[in-house]
Amino acid sequence: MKRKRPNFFYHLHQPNFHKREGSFFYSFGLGFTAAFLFAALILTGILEVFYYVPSSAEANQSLQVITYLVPYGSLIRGIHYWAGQLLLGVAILHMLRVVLTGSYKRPRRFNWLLGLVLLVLVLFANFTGYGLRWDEDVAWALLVGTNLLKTVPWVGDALFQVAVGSSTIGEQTIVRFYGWHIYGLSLIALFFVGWHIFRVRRDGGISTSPKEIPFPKIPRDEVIQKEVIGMFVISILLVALALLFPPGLSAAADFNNIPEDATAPWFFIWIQLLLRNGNALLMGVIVPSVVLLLLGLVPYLLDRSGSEEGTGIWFNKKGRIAQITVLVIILGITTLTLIRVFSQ
Amino acid sequence: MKSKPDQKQSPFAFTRRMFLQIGLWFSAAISSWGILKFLSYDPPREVLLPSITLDEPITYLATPALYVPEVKAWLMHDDKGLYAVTSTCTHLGCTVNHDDTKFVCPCHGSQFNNSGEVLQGPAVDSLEHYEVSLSPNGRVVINRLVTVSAIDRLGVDG
Repeated sequence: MKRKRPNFFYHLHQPNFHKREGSFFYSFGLGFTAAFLFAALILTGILEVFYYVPSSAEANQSLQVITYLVPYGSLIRGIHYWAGQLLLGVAILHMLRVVLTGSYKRPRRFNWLLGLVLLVLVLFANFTGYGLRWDEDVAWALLVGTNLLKTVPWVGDALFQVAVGSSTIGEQTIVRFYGWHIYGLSLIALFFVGWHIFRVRRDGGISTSPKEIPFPKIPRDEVIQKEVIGMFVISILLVALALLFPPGLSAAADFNNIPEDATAPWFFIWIQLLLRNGNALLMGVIVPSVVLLLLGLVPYLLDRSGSEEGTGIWFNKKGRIAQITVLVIILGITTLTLIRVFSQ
Repeated sequence: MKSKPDQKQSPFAFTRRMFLQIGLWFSAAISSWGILKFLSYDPPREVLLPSITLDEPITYLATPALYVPEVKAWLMHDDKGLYAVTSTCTHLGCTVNHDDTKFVCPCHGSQFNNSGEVLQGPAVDSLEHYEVSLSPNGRVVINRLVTVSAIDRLGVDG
């Protein structure tokens, strides 16, 4: 019998894996899930581009057309929205798994930074995505988010100009956000996703404990089997969320209409709460930058131990400081978010 | 490339490779500058009117505060007369709402009294006052380009 040649997708994986790499209860498939959600975002995003009109006069109306008139438009938009929300959550959980299993240690230190870059890109892509709705719900978040740039010393006004496309929010802003969302963030993120996955493989695959040598091998078919199941489950979840909890859309943004209370998108609620209690530059720019810097320092300063010292081991001793730092950051941000959500 | 024949060379020698590398970084820096300038064009356009002419002063005594979106200001009055307070919060630029006796920012909860002074943070600076004057035919004019002291009033007879 002629042996079947593996198709293109098989070649995305090496022929054999360490048994642990394919274990769901080790990686929880979070990295794979993130990559799959990203693919779903690109697909649905391309479809939305065919109807969306990036102009302040027509953007909201074109979204109404997608949502209420175009066949399956509501589903496509819903999947795009939910994939974006889930991607952010999954990316953070993925980061948490990597920290708690010491998977950032040498030689994977650089890939940790690539992951952080992706996290920032996803955050901004989510923010610009919200902005593209151009409705009453996002108008003030957009104003505050971009005005924060102005508080940066020396280069603030230039940053604002580059981000917003004009010295005040207006017609240019939406074209600029459209450009940033698709090309300036998502396309760049695609490049980083490729680099991130390439580094995973070059650094020896998903981290495993070096103590299990000789390691038990499994063929890639077993891994692919799990991935196919994963894609199936995530797809069903996305469709269900899109149908049961469709994303909101209110009337077109009108900056002359003053709301009683303006809420930031959920992933920036913690910054909004910080901003209520202090200086704009400190709370809106410096604190988030310090958080990011701390995360970046995880493999370079907080835990400099090598791969033999706890890689692949949950809650390994050498990584205590790194684990506690990241847990405190994530718990802190979650707490702030919940405080604001429940105080309303 | 084969191994270099003359290994006696100083390690700090300026090699062709270094020259090309520096050249590459240099051109990257110059292009980045160009890209930044490209992205920084500020299109000329008038979003807000410099000033707006409203009705006769007496019209505005009926309501405690009137929002005038054309100049992004609240037209206020007290027993000394009319005055205009900017509606742009000094914290992060949201438009403040008026709530009986004070201005409240919907974004981060800053509060200002009717004269624009900070009652509650995070805002630090007071809301500025715009010039309110009478046009030759007796109409109220708010001029966004002229800021005045917080005690300036346009007296209203009656």
